[in-house]
Amino acid sequence: MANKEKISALVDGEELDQSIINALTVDKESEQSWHDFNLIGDVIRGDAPQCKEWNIAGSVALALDNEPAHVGLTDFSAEPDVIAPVVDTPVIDIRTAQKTESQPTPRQAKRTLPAWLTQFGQVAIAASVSLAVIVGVQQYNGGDDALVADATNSQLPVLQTIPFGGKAEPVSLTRDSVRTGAHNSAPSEAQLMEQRRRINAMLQDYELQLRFNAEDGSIDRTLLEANSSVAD
Amino acid sequence: MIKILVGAVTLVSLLMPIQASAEEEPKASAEALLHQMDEASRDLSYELSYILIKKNSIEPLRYRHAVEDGKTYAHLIYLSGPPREVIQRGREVSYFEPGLDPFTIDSNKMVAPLPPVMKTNIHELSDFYDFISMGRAREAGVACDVIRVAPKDGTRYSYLLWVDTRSHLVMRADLLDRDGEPLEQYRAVSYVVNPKVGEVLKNLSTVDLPAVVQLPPQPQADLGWSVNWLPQGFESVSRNRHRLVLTERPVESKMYSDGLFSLSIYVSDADNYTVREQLVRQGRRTLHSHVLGGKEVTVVGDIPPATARRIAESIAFVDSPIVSPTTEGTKP
Repeated sequence: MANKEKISALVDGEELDQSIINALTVDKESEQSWHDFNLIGDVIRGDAPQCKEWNIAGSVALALDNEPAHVGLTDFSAEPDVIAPVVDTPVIDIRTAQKTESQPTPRQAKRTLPAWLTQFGQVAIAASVSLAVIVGVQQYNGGDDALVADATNSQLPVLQTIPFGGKAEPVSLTRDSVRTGAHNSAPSEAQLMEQRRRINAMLQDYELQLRFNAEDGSIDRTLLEANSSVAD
Repeated sequence: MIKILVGAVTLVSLLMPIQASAEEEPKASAEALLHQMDEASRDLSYELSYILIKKNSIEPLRYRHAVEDGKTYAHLIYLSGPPREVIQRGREVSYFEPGLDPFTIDSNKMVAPLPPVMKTNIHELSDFYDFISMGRAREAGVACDVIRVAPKDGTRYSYLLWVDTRSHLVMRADLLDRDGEPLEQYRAVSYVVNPKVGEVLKNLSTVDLPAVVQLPPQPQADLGWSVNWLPQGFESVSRNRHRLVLTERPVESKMYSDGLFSLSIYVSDADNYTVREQLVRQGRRTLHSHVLGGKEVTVVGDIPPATARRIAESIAFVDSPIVSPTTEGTKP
């Protein structure tokens, strides 16, 4: 009993006695009480394991006892994944899986896969990489285009429903719409030519006027004005 | 120790005013520098090779200038493309251009893509422009003083000038719009200041040039319209009625200049070719026209579009009932 008290104290972290630790390793009963106390503590704290077979250490030890010596590549029929679910359903599995078992070697694993599948894997990787590159580049370029368009059309609304330099025309083509369209259309070629000619004429005349009236500022301008008024 | 400290402090305090005055000096001398530049461009014998950079063209040019026997000789030549030249002999300026018969005008200044601000009345400019020293930079392989010629009222373009510290010639000039974007750049590639340039140019005195065009006496008639707004400093240079050379269209025109930039206002009858309102920009040149009461009013000049528009909209016809008759040359 005294032992149990001490174990309880150890579990609670109140006392650290070397003798009780030694007793724990030797005495089966003490060990059991250590387990029980810990389990009680876990339950109180709400840390209790979900499955009943919480004694993983025991299961593993049991499984190791039943493990036969490895026999190499001889048995292909062995299920390679018996060890894996130890945690989930360890006891049953270990009880039933008495047969010899072995890890498949790479060569063997390869043989179980069809040849085209392995190559398919390589091709798939290559294809996905190139797909990523293509999509990435297109995304990048597309983003760039959008940027440029944004810069140039920043003044315009995104959806332009009315033609820029005019008014909305009816969609259907009627005689009426054709007639009015001809009236409102942009200036004809001849008109444009004439307008351009006039602009050039104006600019040229300005240049000529500049030349006729140029003076380098060395003469007093009031004198010049006086001269011109005399000329009048 | 304290003595040394006190000595250092007094030394620093003594030096401070000197330094301050040294900092202020360039500001005061920006105008002086421009005067020196103006003088140098009038008096020196020099040859200047430069390029004129516009939005989508580069034009190489060469300008020679000399004063021989009190007479100014100058020669500007376009180095590429069809031959274009401007020759100045004293008060005769001859223009040689493809598509136009060569002609000579009685004037003392050639109108050509010369480095700007040279040969302008700096004194007059100082009323409407600020001259700001921008420090030093290197152009055409020589150290230059950088000066900004900025309008006081913001209705005009501005210039950035690089003036050689030794010869005081313009090595580079940028014409900047209101946003500081360059419209034109004149950049010297090489230059020579040498009296020998004068000897070369003296040969021009023997060359046969077209006779001076005698302008018919200009009737300074009262035009039936007036300009009610102009940027400060623009003064009337001429006003007349004439026909445009290219289209034979009769126009009434007035020209104004502030000494650095010019503008012309044209009024003509509107017809069915006339556009209700249009704006054309060619580098530094702006053309704005609109229709007002059956007349087409056009403003052409080296001014920003907003200014051209404002001037065009300030035009009033004297005989129109709304606006009372105003005297000629009304200025704000």
